[in-house]
Amino acid sequence: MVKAVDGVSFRLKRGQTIGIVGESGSGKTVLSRSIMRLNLGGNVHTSGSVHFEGRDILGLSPKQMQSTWGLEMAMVFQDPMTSLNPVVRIGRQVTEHVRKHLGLSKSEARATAVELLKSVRIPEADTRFEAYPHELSGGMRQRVSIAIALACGPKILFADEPTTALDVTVQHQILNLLGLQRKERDMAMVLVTHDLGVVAGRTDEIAVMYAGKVVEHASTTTLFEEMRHPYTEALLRSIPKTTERSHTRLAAIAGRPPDLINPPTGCKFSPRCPYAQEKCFTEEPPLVTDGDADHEFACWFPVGSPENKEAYEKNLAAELPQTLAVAEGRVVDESVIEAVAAKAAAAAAAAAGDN
Amino acid sequence: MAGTGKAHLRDGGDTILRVEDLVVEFPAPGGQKVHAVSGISLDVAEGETLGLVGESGCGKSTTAKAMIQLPPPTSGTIDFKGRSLTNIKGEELRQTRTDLQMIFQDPISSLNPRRKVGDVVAEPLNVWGPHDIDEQEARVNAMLEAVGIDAAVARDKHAHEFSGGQCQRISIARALVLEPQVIICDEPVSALDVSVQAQILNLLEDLKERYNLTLVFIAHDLAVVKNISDRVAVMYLGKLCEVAESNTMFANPAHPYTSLLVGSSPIPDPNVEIDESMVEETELPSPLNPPSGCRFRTRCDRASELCERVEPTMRKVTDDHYVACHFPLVDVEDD
Repeated sequence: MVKAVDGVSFRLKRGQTIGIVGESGSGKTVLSRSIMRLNLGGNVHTSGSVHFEGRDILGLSPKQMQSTWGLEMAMVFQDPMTSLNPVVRIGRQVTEHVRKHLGLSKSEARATAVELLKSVRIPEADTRFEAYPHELSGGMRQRVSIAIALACGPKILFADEPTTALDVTVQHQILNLLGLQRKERDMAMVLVTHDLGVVAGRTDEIAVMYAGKVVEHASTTTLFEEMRHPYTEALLRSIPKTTERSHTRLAAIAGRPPDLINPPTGCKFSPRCPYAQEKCFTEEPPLVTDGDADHEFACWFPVGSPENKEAYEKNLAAELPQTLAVAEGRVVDESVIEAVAAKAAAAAAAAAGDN
Repeated sequence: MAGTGKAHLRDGGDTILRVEDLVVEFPAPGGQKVHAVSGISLDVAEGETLGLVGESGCGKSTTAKAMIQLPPPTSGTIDFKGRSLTNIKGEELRQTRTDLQMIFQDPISSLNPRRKVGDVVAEPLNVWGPHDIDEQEARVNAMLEAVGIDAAVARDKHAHEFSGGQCQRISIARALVLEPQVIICDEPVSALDVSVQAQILNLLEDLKERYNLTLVFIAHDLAVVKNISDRVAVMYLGKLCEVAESNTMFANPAHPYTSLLVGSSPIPDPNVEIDESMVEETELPSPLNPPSGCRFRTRCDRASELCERVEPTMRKVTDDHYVACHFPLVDVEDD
């Protein structure tokens, strides 16, 4: 059994934007798809609850769900080339929703769709109405998928890596467009991405996911200024920045995300964490707050605390490979990290057994 | 520029690779031509990392591939250590290529899934020697260790048993096993997760120093390019816009296009104000029929009638900063 998402909770207010950040395999896509009930197939087990304007979405019948999609919640996917139908003109792909959900006539639907295409800044929307997806650039295609998602005026928009496949200039425009539409329509938005740069100035709050769990959750400014979880810190430190001088040594995160079929005991990040201590390998830290009630994190040795500093120095003295990777940017293979973690976990388990 | 000119080329004796007036065109239906690269001149000094940036379709990969004659360019010259690569053919070219190696974007598909990693890395040695098995094994082991892979375990495994980051390190080992002088890295970190990306960038810096390598590094991520490069060349629609020392370029972009790229690049700091005015997409002109004069003029807010008529040439801003624009954002020296 793969636990792709494990005990995630969050609240989103009307008109607000939350960023969900994590590496591939962290469960961020599965989370947003589960909320929208888009995880197809009988092998997926979902538990918990999703309350949307007071109703539990997970309890709705498939038929009720159909009238929720598009009207209440909609999604923009990563790759517009696979999310759009290649053999249907884009106009029809937009009108399909308004005709079904809003019951508009053919000509009304066309007028609405052209307006929508204009609102997502597609030039010559009237002519483009007849175009096929392959006739458009990547950015234009993503604009079409945004128009489809917005067609019936949803209250929440999920954007799952909406700009990952696009060039940086186009990414900038699409993110601006999403922000603009969110403001105009007073929608809530869930922005899923692996890029901390994308969420930095564009979200109200951020949840950082690792191995299916939220490891830190705070308002965007708090998260960047006072991050408490070592993974958030590592993620930010490992990315190159245009504000740094060239050849700045990067603090790499050693190792790889855990295998979710056999996840490590204790904290899931412990094998890669530069601060990991014995406790981290055996006991899983709960999501807690410290002072600021809106800032949750799950770590025994949170960044910025004296215990954290002590743990770092201890690990540095012991020449733990993942600590050296951060301190010196040393290149460490996954197998080394896994061997060290296995040894530490075994030692911790043995110590626990002795007591 | 997007223009031509060679003012930015250096005369130094340590130039390892020099590209002049490179043109690459591909045939298109209806007798048309795709103008992928149209008259680019570049030089790379020994031990230097040259970063090539630009949006997709700007010809950055085509330029890099033309450097190793894959395929040979339509016109222009490429000198490697004073020898012209464009005039040599067959066996001679084959031998020269051992000095120029390449790393590709997708680490998993660039390794043969049916062969053991040890054999993949040893393949260049099978072609060029040494053919002695023990000697080969020693070289392969040394190379795998150099990229941080445990050779004893990895040799007999297949590519699918490794993560993306490990596969990329294995293909770096394969590129290095013939002890090349130049490595062309075509978007080597774009397919990797951010945490793995840092490892590969650090590794390339280490190897560059250890084996005295010269790198040509292609990427679309400006932060990545800035981090690894000594010198950066910005390309737009088959032309060069700006060439400068890496820190200079980001501190003082001279070309409107460079400035657009830098301004669009996401910065992981919530206190940095985002310019939210840009919503509209400016359509990229077709490389089948590029605009006259400056190719960037259709998207440029400084463009005038001069830009339509006359193609800008490279002009000097400072000693290691050149721009091809009629109306650059910083002062330039007059010719």
